[in-house]
Amino acid sequence: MHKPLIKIKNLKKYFYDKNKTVKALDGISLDIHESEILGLLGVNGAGKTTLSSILATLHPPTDGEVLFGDQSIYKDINSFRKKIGFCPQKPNLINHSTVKQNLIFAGRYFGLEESEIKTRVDELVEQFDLSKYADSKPFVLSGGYKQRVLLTRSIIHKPKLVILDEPTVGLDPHIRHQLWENIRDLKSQGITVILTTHYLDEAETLSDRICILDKGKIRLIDTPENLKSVYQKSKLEDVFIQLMKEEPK
Amino acid sequence: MTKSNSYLKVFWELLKTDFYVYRQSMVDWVINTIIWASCTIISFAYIFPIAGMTKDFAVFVAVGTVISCIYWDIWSTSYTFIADLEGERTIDYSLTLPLPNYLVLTKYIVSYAIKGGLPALITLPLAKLFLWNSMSFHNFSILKFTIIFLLSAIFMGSFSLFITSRISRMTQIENIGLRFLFPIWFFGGSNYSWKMIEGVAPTMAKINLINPLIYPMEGIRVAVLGQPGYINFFVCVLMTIFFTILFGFMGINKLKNRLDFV
Repeated sequence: MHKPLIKIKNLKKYFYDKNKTVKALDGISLDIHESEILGLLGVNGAGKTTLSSILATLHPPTDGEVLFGDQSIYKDINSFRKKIGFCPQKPNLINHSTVKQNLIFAGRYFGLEESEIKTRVDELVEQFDLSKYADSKPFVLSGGYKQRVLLTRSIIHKPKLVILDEPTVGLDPHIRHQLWENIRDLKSQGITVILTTHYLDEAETLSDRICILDKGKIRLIDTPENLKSVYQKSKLEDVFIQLMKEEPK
Repeated sequence: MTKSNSYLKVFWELLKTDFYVYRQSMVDWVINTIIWASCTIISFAYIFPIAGMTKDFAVFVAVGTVISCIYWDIWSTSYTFIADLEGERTIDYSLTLPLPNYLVLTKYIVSYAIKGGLPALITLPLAKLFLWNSMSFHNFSILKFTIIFLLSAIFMGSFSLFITSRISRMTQIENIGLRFLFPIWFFGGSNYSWKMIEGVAPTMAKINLINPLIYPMEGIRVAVLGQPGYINFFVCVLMTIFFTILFGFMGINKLKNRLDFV
């Protein structure tokens, strides 16, 4: 029996532009289980980034609830923020500071003790193979290394949930594979991961469950194996293509 | 740890990060300030008197340069903020930290105040150096100077956030500078006191009372040169606080809507 870490109930996010209302999320409900990797899939504008940024508390929803345990995350948003890590699409590191300093600053923001920060930074630099660049400034790093630093920064405070918004976009295949290992490591540490991605192979390889979003609604949510079996396809990509051709029920 | 202590700690850590970043550019900023202040003071002290201007006016302008230097830093802070919004969005990271988002933006105000204020401190010793005997510190009040200097720096931080909140695109920064910041500065007491304006155009002087820059400018001159000839110091202090709160509130609200944060 999977224990839900996050319960999302009828979540809506509307954007109002002059006379037009854009429904980025239109009544999403789902449970996110402890220690699972949940892949969020969808075409551009499906609502993946909106959902992940609402869960990261970056934007408020228009309506609906997000429960952590049994409590709304908005009841004590700052204590919820201590339990999550957010890895945005664009690397937003401090370019004037070294990789190590970026991690140290992050540890301080989350109230870690100096000795704990030191141990944690050393441990993560080793784990994510960042030693070579620990004293370099982020602007000299390649895209893959920047993403690794972002990933490291997002777990410095040992969160229960990590939200990864298209972490491998634009990266070379071998770098993507290295990052996949890092993401699997998070799961093995008991961290729940929400992975927003455009890459179907990535979602298929990494995710315990896949949630396919379309026009702000959930089209399907299941394990990759079940999805392939129901649609009688060998690859998730084929399932996705067929699903996008079908009209939503 | 109580909630407020925990917020204070995060706030302080964010500020410390900014200090760390600023430290790397501080020498450049001091050099920029020296060049700006030197050009102004030298012109008013040694060139304009040939055309009949008194050296007292050079002292008057030199003291105002302290505020002008902080004021024109608004341009660069707005540029940096908008560049971040259009580029890497480091602000998004701050907005996911365990700190209420209005405090994240308040941190920007304090941080901008320090960024603009610290280099501007060099202006007064520089003025003394160039003006020597013409510049007397006989009426100088360290208490008044500290109060108005700190308040002015925080006001500029708040005004800077407000200006930034009104700029939607990088290409608008130049327009804001020339259409908005320049007239405020020009009529805000940089080149003449409020009483000078009142003497020649009383209506314009009354309108100018809504110019937020007039109060820091007048206040700093009272602190360095003495009260006579300027708006009452306490009025300057109160109005500077008023405009700081007003622009801070409007800036934070506008950015809250624009960035759509919680």
